[in-house]
Amino acid sequence: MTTPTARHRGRWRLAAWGLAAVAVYLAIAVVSVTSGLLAGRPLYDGIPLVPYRWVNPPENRIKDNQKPESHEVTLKFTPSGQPDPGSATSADAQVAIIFSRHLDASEYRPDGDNSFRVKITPLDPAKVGPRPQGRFFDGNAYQIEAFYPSGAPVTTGTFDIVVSYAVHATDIRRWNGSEWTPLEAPSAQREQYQIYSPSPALGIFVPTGDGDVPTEPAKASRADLVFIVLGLGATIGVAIAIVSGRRKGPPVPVGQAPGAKAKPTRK
Amino acid sequence: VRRIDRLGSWGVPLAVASGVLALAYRVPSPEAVFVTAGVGAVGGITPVASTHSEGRLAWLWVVLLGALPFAAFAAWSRPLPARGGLAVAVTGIVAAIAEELFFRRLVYGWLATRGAGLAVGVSALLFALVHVPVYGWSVLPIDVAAGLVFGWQRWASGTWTAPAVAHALANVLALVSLR
Repeated sequence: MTTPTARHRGRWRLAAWGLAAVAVYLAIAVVSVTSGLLAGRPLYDGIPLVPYRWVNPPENRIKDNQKPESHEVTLKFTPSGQPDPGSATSADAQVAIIFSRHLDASEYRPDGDNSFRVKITPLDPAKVGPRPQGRFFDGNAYQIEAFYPSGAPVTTGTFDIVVSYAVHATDIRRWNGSEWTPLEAPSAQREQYQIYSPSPALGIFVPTGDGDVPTEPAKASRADLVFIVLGLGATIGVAIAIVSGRRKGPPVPVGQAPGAKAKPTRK
Repeated sequence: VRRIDRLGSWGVPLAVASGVLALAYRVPSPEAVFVTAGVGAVGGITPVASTHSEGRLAWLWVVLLGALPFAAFAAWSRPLPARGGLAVAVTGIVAAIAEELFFRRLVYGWLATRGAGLAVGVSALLFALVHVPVYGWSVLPIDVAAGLVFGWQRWASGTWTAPAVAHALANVLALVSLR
């Protein structure tokens, strides 16, 4: 039997542990992002649902491949000079450009324009230029262009390029007219199969990975046997637990405190 | 009878081990959600001792406090476009419920008789470890921290549904641009 005071104290203790857990999470989140461990919000079950859309699909994707889409959007400047929205994302979300970081409005509208148009075009990277030595193209190339209403291109500013990749990209490369040059400070969001880098200019970008031949993720055929064995194990375990639970009767509530051993109350 | 009792003591550990390995062995493919759902079913039907703690907190408060850090992180961190949109969000919700059935109902319930601290800690660690093969080691600290929040919710509310709501919300928030 517990007194109201003990219950009250117990609730406060529960709330204090909760606040501590929240504080630990926030501290680790801040450290993870500032140290570069995480590129952004983590997804706690981030299995990619939608297969990568290829301009020129690899052999094993020819049957089910959907072509990526081009995208055009107009971004207006707010009175304070910031583009609104601060980013442009293709409809299939395979590529995005973010304008809102490192923003200096004067860089984006030197002539007082109040908007600009962004155009994103997917390309086959092999048709743009030869792949870098020792690397493979891990997705489409994307040409990203931006124009003021006057037709003048947006040439100044700092842009964050975010691209999805198919297997395991480790950098983003920009076509400089003769070769693919890597952007600095690439950071990957592995659970969403995305990688991003700041870029000093627009142009044509492609995610690339280490190695000559892309390695596909493990296929279901390899996993089948493992999952059959694990499924059997789980089924046997559940069956044993159910039979054993019936023999022992209904489960008995057990009280406990964090870190403290509970008194076994099973009768 | 003693032999059956000994066999019975292996049932839950066997189900837990199989589930953990199945989750860790998931490959990044659309089919992975079925593996997760299957493991969730194991977590949902395996009998575990019900547990309660002194001075349980109201379910809604536990959900709100548990969801708070995920909302704060989402508001602060860089918005990135999600591949798959609504489909990924639905998958994230299904997977969140399945994983909470497994980790906060089955694993927690199995270990809680030895102490809530152990149950919270081990379920958080296993939760983080099964995500390493897919996400990489870089997400281990944040996943352990998330597991601790979910474990606390299970302890404070007395039910796995509170962390399931927060987990699903966290997954959805990860895909939604808040700024």
